[in-house]
Formats: sequence, structure tokens, C-alpha cells
Amino acid sequence: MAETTSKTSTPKGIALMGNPSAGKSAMFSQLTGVNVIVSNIPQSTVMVQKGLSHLDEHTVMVYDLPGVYSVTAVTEDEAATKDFLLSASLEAVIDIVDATRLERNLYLTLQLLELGLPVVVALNQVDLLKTLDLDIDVADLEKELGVQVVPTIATQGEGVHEVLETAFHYADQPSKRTHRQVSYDDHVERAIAAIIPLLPETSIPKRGFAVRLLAGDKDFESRADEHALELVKAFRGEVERAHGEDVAVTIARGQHSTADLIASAVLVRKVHKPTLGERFGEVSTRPRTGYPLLVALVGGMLALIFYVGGYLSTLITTFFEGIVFPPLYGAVSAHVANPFITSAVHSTLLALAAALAIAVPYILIFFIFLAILEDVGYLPRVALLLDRQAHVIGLHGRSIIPMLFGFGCSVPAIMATRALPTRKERIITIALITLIPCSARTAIILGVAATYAGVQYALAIYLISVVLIIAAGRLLRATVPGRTAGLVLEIPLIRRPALVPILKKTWLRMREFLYIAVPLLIVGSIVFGWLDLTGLSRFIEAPMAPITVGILGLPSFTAICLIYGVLRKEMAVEMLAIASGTFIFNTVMTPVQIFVFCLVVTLYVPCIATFGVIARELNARWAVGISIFTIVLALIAGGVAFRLLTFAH
Amino acid sequence: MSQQYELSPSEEEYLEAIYTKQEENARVATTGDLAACLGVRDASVTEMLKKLSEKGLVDYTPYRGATLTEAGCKIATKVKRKHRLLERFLVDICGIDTHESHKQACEIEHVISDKAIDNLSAQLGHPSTCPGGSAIPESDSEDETQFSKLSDVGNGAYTIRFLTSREPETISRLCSLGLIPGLTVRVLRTIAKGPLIIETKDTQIALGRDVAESLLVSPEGTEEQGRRKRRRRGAPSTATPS
Repeated sequence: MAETTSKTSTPKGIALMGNPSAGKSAMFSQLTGVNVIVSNIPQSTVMVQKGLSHLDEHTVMVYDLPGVYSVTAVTEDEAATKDFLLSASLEAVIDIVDATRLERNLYLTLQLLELGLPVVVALNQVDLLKTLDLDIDVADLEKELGVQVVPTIATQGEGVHEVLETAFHYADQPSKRTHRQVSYDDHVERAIAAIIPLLPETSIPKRGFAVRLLAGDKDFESRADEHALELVKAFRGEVERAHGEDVAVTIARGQHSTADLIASAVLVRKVHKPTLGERFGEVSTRPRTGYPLLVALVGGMLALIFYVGGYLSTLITTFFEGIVFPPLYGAVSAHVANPFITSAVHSTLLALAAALAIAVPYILIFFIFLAILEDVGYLPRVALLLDRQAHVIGLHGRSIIPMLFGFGCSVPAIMATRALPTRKERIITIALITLIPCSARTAIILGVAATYAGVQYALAIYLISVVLIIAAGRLLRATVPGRTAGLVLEIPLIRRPALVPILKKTWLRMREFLYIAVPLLIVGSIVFGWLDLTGLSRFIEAPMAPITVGILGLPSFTAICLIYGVLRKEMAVEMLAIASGTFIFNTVMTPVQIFVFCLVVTLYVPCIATFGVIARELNARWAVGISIFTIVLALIAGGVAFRLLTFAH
Repeated sequence: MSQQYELSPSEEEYLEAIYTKQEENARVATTGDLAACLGVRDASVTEMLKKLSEKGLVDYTPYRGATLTEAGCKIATKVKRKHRLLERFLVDICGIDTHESHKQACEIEHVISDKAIDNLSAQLGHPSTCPGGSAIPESDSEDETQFSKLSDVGNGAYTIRFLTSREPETISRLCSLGLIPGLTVRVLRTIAKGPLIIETKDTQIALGRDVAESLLVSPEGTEEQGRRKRRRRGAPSTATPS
């Protein structure tokens, strides 16, 4: 959506908040359409999606904040979300409450109200209430909470417009009702009453401020002075002595029991028979059926990528190289004499074909498949089923989800590690993601190793990757400082997939690939064409020979391919075709050489986009460290494989 | 615990009554409930609840009622244990009828020492239920070790009693999902040597084995000792007087 000429220069901001899997992304899709700007939350690396929405002649900026359970920040996602909420001047906050999990979702609502945020509740998934034999009295809920409540079905767009309208007009609500306050136990209430007079005037209501301080929320301490903090400390000690537990727990109890009271006042339960989704949910977590299902899904996905992706890939390649390119190239060479220009045109066309042949079939299919699994609520079940196995590599089940993304593209996979609770877990997971064969590497393994060296070589590469991932995981677990935190993960209901959010998620992930990769691919391809044209490439091949020929036993022209592989992994193969002058690799290389080449390309140094993301998410030192680590790993694995196989022959 | 809190018999009576209400599964013991149960006026109940609340033994909300705090629950459990063991003693050994035994147990429970009651329990062969069939809470002389780890129990409903984890991330996550002492959860299934799935507040939650180990629980509505973790849910085991 282009900037519309609206009367106000800065559109009103409205943020979407809610528990994970409450239906936030569906709501966001409905509000903003396809064009979404992904930008950083200020002073953090956490990305927030924002998009313009239109209400009559007004334009509204809608922010989609990461899903959180509470305002107590554990993960970086949560910390950034809290910071954004407290600092941005928002017209309203739409709190998306999952109607099927009312009590648990109201906990966040009460916290938001306590912080004085302009909350409008979107009571989402009301269509599911009937299937779960539940009923919620919306008018009563409004009364109990003291805020406006709009029932919605975000996946179908129902109530979405109304909720935006209510939020937009939050400021001119006729009657400012008083919000529901959490009633804490007497010790906490006494402490609140004593602390309030010492607090400075801020935008945050003093009661909420005092509660956050008592709960030990570090982010609020800088806003209070020493006297207040001293008093808080004394009261924390007193409450802790009285209850024999952390004050945060006592406060959480108050908030939960208020949520419980509200929920039991408005919620009617009827006799309930498990629905199809619930029964499927049970099948997917019961070990006897869950593991076979998981294996079937992963197997099905790989088969889908291999057969359908491979088929499409060939189709696209033949289409471009057989039908589109020859007349284009012929036309250019007939009219342009300058060899640099003809070479550039040729290279650009080749690069585009490569991008389309890899991006469209392999990555697209993978991301659609993953988005479906994500949308129906299957992914947390993977984390559950593989939690024990993840301990082998020093991680918890949660880390499996970003690693799964790694099979598609390392960049979104690394971004997904933000939901992990400790830094140590993030570091290990990120390092391991760089070793997981992403779709570009899958294309190399399947398209080159399996096709020109033999299927057993392709399987060997996968096997070596798995062994190295386990070994590296154990090594990192022992060496990276810090700690990991146990698995505590909500298992959402299985629900029917909704088309729009799936397509949107797929598009957003694809877009990162297309915008970052394709330009690099084209520039790299043109430069390589010129290097080849001028004969300069020999100057790169010679100094690299000790490594390529000496250690790995590869032909010397592979040097330039390995260098280009840093830009994009699949470029190594494209460049191999260009450098060797053919796509039929087994005419210029032995099966062992093809195998070693593919193995090294799979393992060595993350591509430039991945490097950039690691540098941003962790820091440059880790990015360099992980790169060196993987290069050494690749050279050792390649060198050993070359010697073993040559010896065996 | 009673050394720390100097309580009058009537204060202990109140705690016991709230405990009974909570055991019967009401989440909050209302003023009316307590007044009816103890045969006193609503106003006296309110007065007493305020007093107990000041001592940190109950969470009291005006017009709503009260729940026991951790400390209050400990004392109430202890008194209840004395009461039910005394009933057992009065009925089984002294041959007194159940109505009379209840009245007398109510008197003696406030004066008998912890040591004496533990010895009585041993003499009676550690019965698990009172003559009325209610479970007798186990002695809490060892505090936390009295409860089972959530990772060790079978499927069924359990009340969380303690949180032993020291990882701030885990505590915070458990708090935000409401998995705190006092909450009842239902264990749905356990993946061998791996995580388990529990249900609470209409939500299924996967807990890693290490997290489950840090949650100490007792079967719903009772205070149960760890070594009897194999007990089937719901069915109170029969008494075994020797």
C-alpha cells in the first residue's frame, strides 16, 4: 500500500497484543492486506511487522507485536514488546484474547490494564466456543473488565473491522469506565499502598508501577528513586516471609485468581465431547501414534520437496534454457558487439534461472508446508516429541522449531531463535542451524550429488551433517557459558488451516530470500562472467590450489565456485557449471570429487545473508567464530572423505 | 510451624474449617460457609479472617471469602491430621461413637503435641483415613520432601505445592502460565523419560522432565506423602489398622 495522502501526517498507531497462538497473525493479515513493512523495534533487534490499515478516510498504522504470555520479560521478544508498549505513543492496544482459553488469556489483559494501556479486547475464535461446548457472555465480560470487548473470528475476517473502529475511537469513548483491578492478598495490598506515595508521576498508573516493582521487574526500577526502591525491598522481604515463596509468585497468584473469577463469572461450560481437532491433537502427542505421524510428516515433506520440487525445478530450467534464453541471447549477441555486455546479459539470465529454479520449487514448497504445520498448531508438538532427543545435543525441544526452519532457509530460522529463553540456547541453536542443509544445500545435495555421483553419496552427506550437528551440539553445550532453561510450552488446539495467514507467512519468508539473494546472485554472476572473460579467474584459482587440490583433491576451477558459494550456497553449483563449462558434472569430475565438493559446500561458512543475521542477532564476533568453526569442520570432513574414498578405491 | 505462630484454639478451628472447604473443592471459603460450619455470626467470621490475614495465614478478600496461604495451609493440615488421627483413636481404641469422637477430637487437637500425635499414628499403624473416610494428611516434619515430584506421578489431578526451581526463566514462564502453588493440574500423559503433558485452565502445556521435577505436588484436595505416589486417583485407599 503506497502512502496515501491522508490529512494527518503521522497515522494513529494501534498495536496488536496477545498470547502466542491467540490468532494475532490472522488478525494482522485481515487488517493490513499483503503489504507489510518489517522493521525493528527501536533499540532492539526484534522485528515488528507493521502495516497500514484503512478506516473510512483515515489511515491507521497497525503494529503486530510478538506473542507473549505476560509483561514479565524472559525472551528478547518479550523484552522488546514491553519496551515498545511503554515507550510508543499508541492510540490503542488491541488485546487478542483466545475465547477458548479465556482465563489464561485474561491474565495478560489484567496486566495490560494495570499498566494503564488503552486496551480494547478482541475476543477471538468465538466460532470455536460452540464446538468446545463453551459460551461466553460478552456483555458480562465487558462489565467485569471495564473495557470494550468485540467478538471476532480473525481467520474469517469477522468482527475485525469493528475491533479496529473501536480501537480507533478509543479516545472518544463516551463513558470512561473504571477498569477491573487485580485484588492481591493483604500483604501485597499493604505494600502497594505504602509504596505509591513515593513513586514519581509517569504515564504508568502508580498501582501498576508498584506491582511491577514488587514483582521484581528490573525494567521499572530505573524509573523509581532510591527511597522507593529501598521500601520495595523491605516489603518484598516481608511478603516473602509471610508466604514462603517469591513475591512474583504471590503477585501472579493474585492476577490469576482475578482472571479465574472473571472467567468463571462469564463462562458457561456444557457437557463436552472431544472434537475431531482435539482427538487429532491427542493422536499427535501420544507417543505410540505421535512419533509415526512425525516421521510420516517429515518423510512426506522431504518426498514432496524431492519429487514435486525436483520436477518443477527441471521444468523451469528446461523452460528457460530451452525456450526463453536462446532467442534472447541470440538477439543480444546479434545487436551488441561489446563482449562485456553480452557476458553480463548471459550471466544475468543464468542467475535468474538459477534463482527461479531453486527458490520457487524447493524453498516455496518447504515454506508452504511449514506454514501449514505452524498454522494448524502442529509445531509445538514436534518440540514436545523431540525434547528428550534434543537433550542429546544440549538443547530443549523448543530449539527444534527454529532448527526445522533451517531446512528451508537459515535466515528466518535464526530469527526464530528469538523465542528461546536463554542466550546459551540461542547461541547453540544458531550455530547448529548453520550446519543444517537449507533448501539451497538440499538442491545441491539432491541435484548434484544424488544425480551425478549417486544416491548413496547424497545420503552420506545427510548422515555426516547429522553426526556433525550432534558432535557440535555437545561441544558447544560444554563450552558456551550460561545456562539453559527447561521446556515449558503451550500445546495449542489443532485447528483448521487458514489460507491467508499461511500465504502471508510464506510470502514474508520468501521475500527475504528473493530480496537478499537474487540481487547478490545477479551481481555475482556478472562479475564471474567478466573474470572469466578477462582470464582474471586464474589469479584466484592458483592461490587457492593448496586447499582445493591439496586438501580436498578437487579440480582447481572449483576455487572460484567455493568463493561464490559464500554469497549463496547454490551459486557454488551455478558457478561450477559455468567454470566447468557444463551442467553434466560427471564428465569433468569423478564421483568422489563431486561428493567432496558437495560435502564441503554443505558445511563450510554460512552464506553472506546468514552471516549478517548472526552478526545482528548475536554479534560480529560470534558470526566470525561460527564461520571459522564451520570452515575448519568442512575442510576436515572434506579432506578425510577424499582420502578415505581414494584409498578405498 | 506452630512455634512460629502462637494461635488460639479458635484460630486453628477457622483454619481447619477453611481447609475442609477447600478440600471439598470450593476454591474460596466464603464468610457464609464458615459461619454455618462453625456456628457463629458472619460478623465474627469477618473479624477473625481479618486477624488471620494479618498473620499471613489466609488470603482474605472482603465479600468474597478466604483461601489458605502456604503457611496457613501447613498449620491447617497439621490440625486436620491431629483431628482425624484422634477420631481414629477414639473410635477404634476407646470405642466411642463417631459424633462424640468428633466433638472430643475438636478439643484435644489444639493441645496435643506434634510428637505425641506422630507416636499415636505409629501405634495405630499409620492409618490413611479417618472413621468418616476422609484422608489423613501425612506428617510434614520434613516439609518439601513430603510431596511427590510432578515427574514421578501417574496420570490424574494434582495440586501444586512447591516450586523448587531456581531458574528465573522457568519461574517466570511458570508464573505467566499460572503454574504456581495452589493450582490443580491434570497430568494427561508422560513421554517415556521425556516431557509430560498437563492440562490446566483449558490449556495443554508440555513440561520438560527437569521442570516437572521442580514442581512438588500432592494428589488433588489432599496432602499426600511421596512414597504413596502409586495411589490410584479418586479412590481413597482403605485403612489398615493393625
